[in-house]
Amino acid sequence: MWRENPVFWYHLLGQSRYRWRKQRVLTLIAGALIGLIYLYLLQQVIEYEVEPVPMQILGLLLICLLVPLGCYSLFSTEYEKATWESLAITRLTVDQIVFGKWFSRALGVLVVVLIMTPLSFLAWLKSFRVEADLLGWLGAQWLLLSWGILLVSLGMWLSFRVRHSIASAALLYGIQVFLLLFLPLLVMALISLATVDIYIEDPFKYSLEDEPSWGDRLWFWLSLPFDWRCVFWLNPFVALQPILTTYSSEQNRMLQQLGFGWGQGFYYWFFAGLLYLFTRQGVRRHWRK
Amino acid sequence: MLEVKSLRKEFGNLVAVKDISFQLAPGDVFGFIGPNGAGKTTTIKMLATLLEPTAGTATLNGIDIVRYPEEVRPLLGYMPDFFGLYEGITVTEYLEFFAAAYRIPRSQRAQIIQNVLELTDLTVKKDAYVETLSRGMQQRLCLAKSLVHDPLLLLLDEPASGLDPRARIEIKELIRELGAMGKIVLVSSHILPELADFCNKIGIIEKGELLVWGPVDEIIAQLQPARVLQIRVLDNPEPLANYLEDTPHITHLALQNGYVEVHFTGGLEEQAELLAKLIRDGFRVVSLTETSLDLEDVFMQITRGEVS
Repeated sequence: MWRENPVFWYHLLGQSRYRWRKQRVLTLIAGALIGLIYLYLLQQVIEYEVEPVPMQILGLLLICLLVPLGCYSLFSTEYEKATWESLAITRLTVDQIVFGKWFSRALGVLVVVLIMTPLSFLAWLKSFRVEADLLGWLGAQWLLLSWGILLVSLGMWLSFRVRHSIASAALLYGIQVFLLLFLPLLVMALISLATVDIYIEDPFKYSLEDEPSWGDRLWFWLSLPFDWRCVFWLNPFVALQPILTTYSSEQNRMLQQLGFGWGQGFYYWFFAGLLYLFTRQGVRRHWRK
Repeated sequence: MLEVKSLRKEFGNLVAVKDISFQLAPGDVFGFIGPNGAGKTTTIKMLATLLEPTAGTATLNGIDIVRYPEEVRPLLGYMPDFFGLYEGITVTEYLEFFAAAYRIPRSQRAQIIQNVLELTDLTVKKDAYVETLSRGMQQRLCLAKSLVHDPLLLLLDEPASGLDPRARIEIKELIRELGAMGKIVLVSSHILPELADFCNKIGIIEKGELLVWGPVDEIIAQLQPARVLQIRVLDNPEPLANYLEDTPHITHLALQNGYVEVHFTGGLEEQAELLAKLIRDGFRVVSLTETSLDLEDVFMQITRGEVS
């Protein structure tokens, strides 16, 4: 996997260069626009007390929009351009191929997170009303990175399974819209129809008598997938709120102490790992590697 | 040495390749002929280790391609019928990609790439981006990429399809050269005159079945036990046809457009005697020519136009 990996270098540099050559003007315009917006935001953060949550949400939106662009065609173009057979019969191992593609895009996620880091960090530093400590802020960064990694794995797996770039891209954006927007809305609608009063009262209710112990934390995170509230709490947009909110309630403090951000991140990495393994198994079987 | 033993591939109820067997030695250029859907590409994909056979096997230099695909892959080069290239990189970078993928040491790469570029006549295009190359040049680049690791077996699936006449001739020259270099070259095509020029062996496949395989001359000799002679006379050829009916060594006779075609079982001595006899008996012979079967005739005689 760590041996010289031409797949990694091609996806990191070759494809980027191709896009640059093909869409030079568009890239320049988009780059200039993004640069201007970035400088404006930086100025806002430095001069005024901007809250960190909008900065993090902006970063998350960028990840949700940009990361799929990089990975929806990771494998599908191999089929569409009929290059996979030539690649399959080389001496590259299945790990070199899958990891090379995956890592080239994971680096892209890291770059987006790093670009957004100064904005988020300065906002966190300057906004004295935010109660989250450095670990909490780092948890929010970890959440961003992990969501991006999950998208990379999902995009790679979809592009391998679907084998059509457009369909894979549509699915990747569609799944995000469903998971992040439609599903929570659907659950909220169903809750409002239900007769269980406690849920109607506060769907995010979570309470412990004292500061949570490690056992409480472990129990919370392990049992989360079996709790209907995971629809909300595993949603990165929802999860960011209690971490960096400026209006910390008892509830939010409790969630911060439970390790919000870090816990979601581990779940995203777990799902990303599963999807990575599915892709690896698929390539191994279909490419006879 | 490539030995294919009872190779079979089934897709559900469809038998795409039926227990085919053949052997090829280094230097052999094997023309794999068959109509569309006959099983050529399926066979080639099995030999390229991309498809697992349902039964049977093949060995390359004694290595089983079914059980040890990873060990065989460094020994084979494959050019698919429909292929693409990685865009956004230059010709040299493209070949470096595959040199690295075949784990050729860095120190040897530059020299190997230069040799392969020279062989495929792409040196002048070494800095061009692959997507800017013409179809013929892309075909040659695909072949060049299949050669960077110096494979023993080259599997070329319809290498000349979609090429203009000049590019076809260049590819033919290249394949002939590869055969002369001691490689085993398996070329599939349904354009027969193009194969006849450089193949020393052929195999004809139809409906997944290898109907015949072997050296071209032997197959033609099998199919054409008698030589075909065309005799043209100045006058009406009908009296000549009547005369020839009772002549020894003539097994088949047909009156064609202005000449008589006969299947003659005699040797050259008897042929000379026949010509002398015709002139002696007053026939004004303009020409007596021998025609032999070409690959198209062989193909038409052997196949029934069925696909699997």
